[in-house]
Amino acid sequence: MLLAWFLPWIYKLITADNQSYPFTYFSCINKSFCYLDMRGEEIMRMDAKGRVYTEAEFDSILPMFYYRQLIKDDRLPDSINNVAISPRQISTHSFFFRYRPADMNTPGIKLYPLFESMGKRVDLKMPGDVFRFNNAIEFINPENNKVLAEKSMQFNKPFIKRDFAFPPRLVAGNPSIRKAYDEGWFIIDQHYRVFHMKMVNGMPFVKDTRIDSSLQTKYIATTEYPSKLFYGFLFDNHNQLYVISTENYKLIPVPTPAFSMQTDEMLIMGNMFYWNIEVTSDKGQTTCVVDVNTFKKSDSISFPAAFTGPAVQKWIFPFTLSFTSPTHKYVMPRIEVFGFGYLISGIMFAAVYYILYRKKIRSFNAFLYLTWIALTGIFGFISLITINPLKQLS
Amino acid sequence: MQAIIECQNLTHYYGTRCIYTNLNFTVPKGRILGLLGKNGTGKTTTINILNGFLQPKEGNCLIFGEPSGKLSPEVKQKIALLLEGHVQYSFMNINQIEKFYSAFYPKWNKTPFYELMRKLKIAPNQKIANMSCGQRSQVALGLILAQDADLLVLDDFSMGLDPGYRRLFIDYLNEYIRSEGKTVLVTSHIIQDMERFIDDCLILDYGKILIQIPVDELLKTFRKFQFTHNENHIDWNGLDIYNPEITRNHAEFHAFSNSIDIKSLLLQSGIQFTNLTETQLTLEDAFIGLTGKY
Amino acid sequence: MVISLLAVALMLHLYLFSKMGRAFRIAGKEHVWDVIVNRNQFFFSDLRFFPLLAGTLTGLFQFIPEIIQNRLKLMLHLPLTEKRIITCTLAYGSGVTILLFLFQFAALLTGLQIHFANEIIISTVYTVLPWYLAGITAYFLCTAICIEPSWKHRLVLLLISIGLLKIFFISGFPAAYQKIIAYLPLITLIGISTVIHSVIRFKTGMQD
Repeated sequence: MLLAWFLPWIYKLITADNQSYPFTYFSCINKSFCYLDMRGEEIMRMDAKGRVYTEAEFDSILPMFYYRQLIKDDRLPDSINNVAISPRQISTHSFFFRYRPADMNTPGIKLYPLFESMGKRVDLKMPGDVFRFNNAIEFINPENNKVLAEKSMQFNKPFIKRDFAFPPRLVAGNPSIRKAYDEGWFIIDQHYRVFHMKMVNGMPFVKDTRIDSSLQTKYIATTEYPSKLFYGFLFDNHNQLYVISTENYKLIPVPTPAFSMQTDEMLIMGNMFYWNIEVTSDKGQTTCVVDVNTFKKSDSISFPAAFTGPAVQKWIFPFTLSFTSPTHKYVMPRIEVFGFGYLISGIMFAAVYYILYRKKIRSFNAFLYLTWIALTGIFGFISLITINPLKQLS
Repeated sequence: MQAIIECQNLTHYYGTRCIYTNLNFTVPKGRILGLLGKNGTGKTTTINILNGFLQPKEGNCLIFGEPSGKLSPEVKQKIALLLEGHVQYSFMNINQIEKFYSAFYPKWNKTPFYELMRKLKIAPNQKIANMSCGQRSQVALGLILAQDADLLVLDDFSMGLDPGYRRLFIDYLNEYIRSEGKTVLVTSHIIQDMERFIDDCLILDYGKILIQIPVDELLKTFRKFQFTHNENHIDWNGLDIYNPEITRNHAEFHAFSNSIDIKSLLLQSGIQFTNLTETQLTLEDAFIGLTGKY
Repeated sequence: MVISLLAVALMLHLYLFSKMGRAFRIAGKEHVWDVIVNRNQFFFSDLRFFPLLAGTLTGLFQFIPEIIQNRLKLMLHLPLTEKRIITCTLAYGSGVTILLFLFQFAALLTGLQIHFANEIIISTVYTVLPWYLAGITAYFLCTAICIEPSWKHRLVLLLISIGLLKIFFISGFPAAYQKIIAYLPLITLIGISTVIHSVIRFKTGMQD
């Protein structure tokens, strides 16, 4: 068993090559995907039609991404697609959102800070307490590790009034003061109703968003981006992505490439015209582009996963065991089986064993060892070589 | 007579190296058996098998009727073990070790132990680790006496002891064993010591038992014979004698016999001889006579 | 030996809590909580290899004298069943180890109780528990290696032990073992079974 963990690990260490993909971004100028490919010896700047660009040309066809460079070179146009643009506008509407499966599969401590959303100062301040949910919301003062009874009561009332089903399934927010403003927390209750909670002038603000509970919302990321057009992203039970609009929590479905929350990564690079939605799975990387006004998919491009040489693992290892996974922060044993291809190497190992110990192989036991090696391949071979039961048989 | 130790068809190999095959012997109740043999003949192997720390490849070894590898606590209580080098819990002192062992043995009798310690002027709070080898051997001996076991297995008790301690050890043990009718199996490098002590001896040769015989019988019947002769070569083949040796015109051999029988034997086989002499042997000489010098 | 380990445990404990106290004074408690909760910082990482070390040392200190002075034979000859002798000896050694761990763990918990909310304490427990289990397992594996009569097999056992113990240290992320913590004692059981394996080999006088 240990070998099943150890050998593939060494194998991976030796043959380590990480998958890399070109950086892909949709050009609002020539309306096609452009990409920067660093996989080869030279950096290639191309678009989907195969045209090759110089670095300066590349900057100018992707003004939404390279606007800082364009400003520096004094090349930023006044308008694009008949829309007047300013650096401020570009930066307000630009965002990067990344989802990793590990975001869902991470052990966390369920204590959260609740910031003042309408503070008088520009900068956010730590609130001086944290809250938890069990069968009520409860605020705790870290200074003395005691529950703040009054504040807890005060905040618990609106939850009770709105029939919140404790404890929550998910509490989503950004527990950081390094953000432009605070929108508090989105909270999914036991019945998949989504609530929005923040603190306004020290008072509780708790709102039932009326987001359809039949979606069985799996995950919410509160974004707090400067544009203030939406509260965040939401994934439903079927891996469908939505934005939660600031207009009355209206959900707008966003088309994405094929996506699974458990295994795939998603990166959204947004700007004032388009969102580039990039999904990376073990099969490859697909980016689609969505028009911000219509939320319709207008184009997509795919890069299949690079061929990583012959899959030696499949032929040598009957199975592999690993305790860690890029999609999980939890340590868990995971066994991967590759099918019966390894039997070929297993029989070869058995043959080697036979040649090594042919003088001693006479009994029925020895025959069993050979079968065992054939069935367990390299693991059985190594363990029998080290334990060497035949030596004692002589 | 009841056999305390009974070994049947013992066969053992280390890897492919054969120690012995089909070894059979018994130790009857009340006898003191000395296990003798040159280095590498399997003395330690046999002791290990007896103590249950080695499983023979074949055959079995019964002690009080139980296989030696799986002795019940009751049988273990009846066996006292002296390990090679007088191994003991050296971090304890005299009092502690006595108390420690007394908890395990119902027949424990501390009088002989403390008596022996007093004789040796060992203080009760002296740590065993700070003792000389000789003193340690006496502690081990004292513990064996106190245990009041029925069978004593003593592995190379004389190792590292000066003659005084050796003598002390044997005398003390001898007195105790004779008066109580104990059964003993003992090995030693110093055969001289054994002569004054053992009833029977069992001599191992490479791969087999050479002989198992009461010591007095051995000493009575086993002799060394010497004669002078004039030929360059003597054909000893077919003669029931041990380790013949010729140096120039002087011949020497050992046999279970007397000079009269030997005379006729030599005449029968046509060996020329003059000045045939017969020598009585000590146990050590007899051992060498039986096994050869090398 | 036990006393020196206890002393080290105490010193480590004092060090950890004075470190924590300093963090409290400099950064404030709220900030410390924030760092623990939202930045996955773990305050007691220095504790990580202590149980492993303690378990290994207990095993070595208990059995190396037995082996070097050949006293194991003496012990196994005591008029008890071998099962009982081995159980008692292992129970003694592991008992000492566990007691030491319990003492330290209890001290840790009391300290935590004063300063932190339950959520943080539970996360801490999930984080340190594998380390303590590693210590107990290390004790058994060490014992097995000591008792094992042949050097070649000792080497194999050593490699297996390193592999088994590595499982406890794959991830230092707080509470990473939360989901499999209930199964980790199985590794300890494997450790115990290797001791039994070694004792049987010792009894049958295996030399290779």
